[in-house]
Amino acid sequence: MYPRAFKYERATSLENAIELLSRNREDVRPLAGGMSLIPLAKLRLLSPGCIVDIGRLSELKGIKQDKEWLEIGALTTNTEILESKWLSGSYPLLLDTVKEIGDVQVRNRGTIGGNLAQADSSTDWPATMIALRAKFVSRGPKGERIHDADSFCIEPYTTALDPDELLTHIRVPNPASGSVGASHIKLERRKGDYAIGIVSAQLEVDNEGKCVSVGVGIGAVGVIAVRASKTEQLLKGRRVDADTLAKVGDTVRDSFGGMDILSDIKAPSDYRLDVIGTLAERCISKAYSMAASAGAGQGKGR
Amino acid sequence: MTQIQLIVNGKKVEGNVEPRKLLIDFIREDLGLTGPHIGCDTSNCGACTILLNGRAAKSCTMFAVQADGMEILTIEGLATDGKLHPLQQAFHENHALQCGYCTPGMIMSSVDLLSRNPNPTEEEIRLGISGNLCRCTGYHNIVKAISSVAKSHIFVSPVKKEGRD
Amino acid sequence: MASSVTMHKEEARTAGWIGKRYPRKEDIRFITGNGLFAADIKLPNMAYVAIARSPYASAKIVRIDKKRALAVPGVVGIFTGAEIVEELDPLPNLLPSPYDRVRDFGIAVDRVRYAGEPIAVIVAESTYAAWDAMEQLDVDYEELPPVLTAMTGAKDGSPLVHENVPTNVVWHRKFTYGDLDEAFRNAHIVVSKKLKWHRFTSAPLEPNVVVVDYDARHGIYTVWSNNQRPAFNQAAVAKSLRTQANLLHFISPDIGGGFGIKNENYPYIILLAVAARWVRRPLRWVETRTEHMIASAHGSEINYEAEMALSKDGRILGLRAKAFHDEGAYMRREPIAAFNFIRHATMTYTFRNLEMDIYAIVTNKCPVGPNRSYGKMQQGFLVERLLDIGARKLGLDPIEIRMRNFVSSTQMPYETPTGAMLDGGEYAKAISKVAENLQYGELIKERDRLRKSGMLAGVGVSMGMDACPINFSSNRLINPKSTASGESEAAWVKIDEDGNISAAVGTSPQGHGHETAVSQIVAEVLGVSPDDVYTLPAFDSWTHPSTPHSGTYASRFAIAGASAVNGAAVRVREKVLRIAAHVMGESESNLDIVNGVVVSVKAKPGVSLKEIARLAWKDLANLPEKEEPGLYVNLVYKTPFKLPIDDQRGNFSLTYSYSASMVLLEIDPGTGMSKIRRVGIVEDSGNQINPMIVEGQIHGQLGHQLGAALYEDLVYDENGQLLTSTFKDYLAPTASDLPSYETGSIVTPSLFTPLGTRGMGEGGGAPLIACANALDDALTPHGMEFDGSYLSPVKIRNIVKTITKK
Ligand SMILES: Cc1cc2nc3c(=O)[nH]c(=O)nc-3n(C[C@H](O)[C@H](O)[C@H](O)COP(=O)(O)OP(=O)(O)OC[C@H]3O[C@@H](n4cnc5c(N)ncnc54)[C@H](O)[C@@H]3O)c2cc1C
Ligand code: FES
Ligand code: FES
Repeated sequence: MYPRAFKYERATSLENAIELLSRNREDVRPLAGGMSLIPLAKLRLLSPGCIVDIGRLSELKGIKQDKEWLEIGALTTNTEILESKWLSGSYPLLLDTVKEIGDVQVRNRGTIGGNLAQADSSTDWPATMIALRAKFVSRGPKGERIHDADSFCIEPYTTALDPDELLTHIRVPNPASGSVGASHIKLERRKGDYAIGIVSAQLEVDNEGKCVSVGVGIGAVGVIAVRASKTEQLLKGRRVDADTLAKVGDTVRDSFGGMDILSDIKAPSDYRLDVIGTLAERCISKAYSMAASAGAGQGKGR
Repeated sequence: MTQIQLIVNGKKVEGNVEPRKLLIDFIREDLGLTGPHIGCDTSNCGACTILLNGRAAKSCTMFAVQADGMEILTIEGLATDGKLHPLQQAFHENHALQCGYCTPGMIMSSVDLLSRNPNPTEEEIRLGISGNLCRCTGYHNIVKAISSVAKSHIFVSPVKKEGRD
Repeated sequence: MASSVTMHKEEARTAGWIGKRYPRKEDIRFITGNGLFAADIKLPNMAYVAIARSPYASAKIVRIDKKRALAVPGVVGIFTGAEIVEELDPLPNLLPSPYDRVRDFGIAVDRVRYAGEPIAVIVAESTYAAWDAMEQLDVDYEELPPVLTAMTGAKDGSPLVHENVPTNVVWHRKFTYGDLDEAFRNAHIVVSKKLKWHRFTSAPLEPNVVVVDYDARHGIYTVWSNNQRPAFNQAAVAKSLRTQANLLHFISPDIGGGFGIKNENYPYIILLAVAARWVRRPLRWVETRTEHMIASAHGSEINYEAEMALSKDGRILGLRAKAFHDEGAYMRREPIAAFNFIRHATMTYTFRNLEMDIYAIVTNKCPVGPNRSYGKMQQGFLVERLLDIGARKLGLDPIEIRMRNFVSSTQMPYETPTGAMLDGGEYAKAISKVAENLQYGELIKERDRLRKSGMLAGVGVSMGMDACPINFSSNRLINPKSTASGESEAAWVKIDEDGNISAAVGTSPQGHGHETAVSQIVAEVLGVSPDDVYTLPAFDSWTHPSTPHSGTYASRFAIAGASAVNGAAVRVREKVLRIAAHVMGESESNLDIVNGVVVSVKAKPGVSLKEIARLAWKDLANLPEKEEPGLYVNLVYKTPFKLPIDDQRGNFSLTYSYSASMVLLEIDPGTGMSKIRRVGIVEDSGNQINPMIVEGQIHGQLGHQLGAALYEDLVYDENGQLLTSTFKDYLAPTASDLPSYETGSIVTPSLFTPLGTRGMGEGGGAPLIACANALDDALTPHGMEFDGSYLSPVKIRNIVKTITKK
């Protein structure tokens, strides 16, 4: 396919990128890995007059650990995250999520920042970031801003960012204890596809097996990814037994308020609403048993 | 028009391209390397797969200008000194191709896979090539071919370590 | 120059190249990126084409204004349908009146009949510029209500797809064999079922491509296209262009998969030919995937209303079915898919009472065309689904019920009620072998374990049949005015003056490995190695032999192609031996060719082929008196076919490959998603020229069939827009979605072909049908049944919900 013509600018630094974006802010898009932007441009569904290539900004690449959080540069590719040494230990949900994204080629080019900035409920990161209560750092002409994962996406394909503002870093809070359990369950019609249902959850349990912190994000159902607040309330302070699990489905379905539900040829809205309950039960059950056994593994388990 | 310079199959090349020109079109039309193919509009099929700085990439989902200064390996550059790469040999021996249209992309993805994971399970092989569609073989013999290279430990990465980013 | 090799005749015949797993000769260019596909062709001064298409399923074209589009930089010319058809005669179609009133040019003139139908040809300096111009083309349409299903299209008062044809039911025939009333009167049970065969496509990875160069000096059009049946389509193209077929130089280079669909790109050849002549530049058009999905050719879509009469012991007494075919907007090859039930209407079974009431209905959708196992797997679906349901009703094992109905090997050749002459085979052995390979008993236990663990699970079996090739006399049953009959293929084999061996055949392969198979056949006959035989790749009408039937379709290579090559090689061999006999002073019957040397049983020194070739071409005075110079034979093989027996019976294929497939299907009740845990198939395609290639074809069938069952579905919305128009939504499966295959084969040589081969490659749909049967096996314990061929998770989940509510 053949995109429309555009003006191409290659940013040499973060400052330069913001300047280029500002100068063209009427009709501009930053280009990171291009795994969302270019397919849309090829189908001529998205044709910015100017594209600012931010792909080479090394200051936005890489992962480092801080006292409070793991900080991931927005331009870090999904492959770099997958292969990073940080994932297995304290951040199991990151690994569980990134494994599910697309295919090798898509992960090699696509960036975590681009994925989040695309604000697509059916991609894997938004629900996970909500579950993790991540913070997003952005930078624009007016300086730096910090966003909650919950409020970053304001409507489908639209974030809280201004056109000349860039997402620079993602901060994933460090878990409080070692008894973390996590699971990212993605329902897809075919391997590597955009999801038709995502439940992403991280739980921490105390030594009695009660959930002390709970984060549950839901994607690919509502038109934007949402927090399953009712589910979190249900689980908080409780051990997850069969009775509790049986209630998970309904609480998840309560997460969407009056929001439109996605519907397409792969999965109509009633199907998505129907199966998300089952997916949530499976996800919570898996995350909980992982947390519980991690707790037990530390010798202070139930 | 934008001036670009890159290394393709070990050789320096230059081009003067419209920014919107996709890398696959630059490779096929401007450089005349027609090994990589186009099979879809939506980045699903992987027929266009090349190695970009040592990693598999769908060249239909990149503008040529983005590749400026980078190193590209296409299927045409995989055999060295007239000798087939072990994966090429294995595709041949295992009848892992029929029409051959997916093959260049499929082999490049397999290179990426075995570079990262020299001993993949069958499931890992299938995942490793899940960005590449084949409509002829039902994948059975492709999986077999890749697995045979892994099992006999004859894989050599065509990418110099320093070429990776 | 006599060689010293000597050998006895018995030893000599053990070369055995036919039947060897010989690695493919064509591979090397593909694995090194040196294949030559049509889109790789670039000519000096070439311009590029984009096709503007209708956004509506049904509309009048009120006005096309080119002004803005012509102003786009790089545009060379824009030609509307109305302008182009001035130069054309309509494309041929098979149907008699009233459909023959339709003037089909492959481009709309004043009315569009499906979303995606071409309306204008845009020529520009680059494809990018052509697409820019396309966006600026102003077209006013007046929308009309579309016809979107066969069932609505068939109703009185439905809007008409073709305003000059008084009904959308453009073909209707009832075929009756035997005594249905009697059969159903005697039935112990009757299985009545509405079944739906879903629309899908084998979607080759390489889209359609056409390059045309017009040479005004000679009035020659050179056409490079990935048409899989160039010799056949050449005539239609010439006719439409009002020129002669011999002035079209048709080249099909390497083709990236065809599966039937690439029969159907000839309308674009015509459009590009006209445009190329007008702009006096070579033109290239490369279809995008979206264009391929919305506007190339789709597989057929059928609603069946069927009933099967069965005896108490599970014997099929009769089958009665209405079949409503949704044909899309134009009848190009159609109604062949609708008609093709006739090739093996009763499958592998002995029943004699059959009624098929066939309706071909035009709709405002992409035209239906050939698609791997064209119309044949559909008949298998009908028979195998009903039989399976019958087994369950009678409490019989699905294998057992099939055993009770098979035509046995002792009955072969067996004439079916429609006049098909089954060419041998051991059907019972095939199904037993697949059961053995998959350990049927264990598989059932595994199914039961899955069920205990909370999954839905089912085991399904099915037979499939692949009737090939096409006896074109079958066209007479569709249109009595048709004068065609039989079919043929051409090949030549040549040994040049230096002893180099070449061969060519008209089959125009698309990944089938004909260069290898042909080399093996020639090597076998001429006593050389396949490496010594150069087989011309691809197809070029100026270098390759051909007949009007040439091409690779209907699984015909192993019959027509192989027989033609074999025949030509045998004649070259005979001539070689005659000349050698003369030189050696031997009797021909004492001679053989071994490792490139003609040897005698009498242990005399042999004479090399090279030496014979030198004599034959260059030392003519030394040739035997009556011998013509040269070692070159061009042979046309006539597949032995007869005319129809009457107006509804005949043997319309020569060989009947068959297979038995078995799957274990697991369904997640929470999501409705199916997964194939195990799949096996055993196929009998007679003697195999290259078992490795045969196996590859079977793998390919499995990929397509399982993909169609679980992933692939062409769905239109209520306005006639195709919703699955890219590989993002049309779910061609990845390696991770498909299992590994447990394949096997048995060999009973065909009774009717020179090499004992049967056509194969298309497969008969057995794996797909086995999936549907497995789903039923999973659902019936819960009192539910399935009616489709597509295992849609959404549908399945809805069924499961009704189960859990019960
Ligand atoms: C075949 C295929 C399959 C896929 N499957 C999956 C899947 O299974 N799961 C999944 O999660 N994703 C999937 N994706 C999507 C892919 O992971 C994301 O599109 C990708 O990660 C987005 O990142 P990018 O760097 O490519 O963004 P780009 O395409 O470059 O940009 C996306 C958008 O974000 C903007 N943008 C990018 N970076 C920034 C920034 N730093 N600040 C502000 N705005 C920015 C761009 O302007 C653009 O609007 C798939 C994509 C393809 C092509
Ligand atoms: S052409 Fe299909 S992924 Fe690039
Ligand atoms: S070999 Fe034809 S698409 Fe893979």
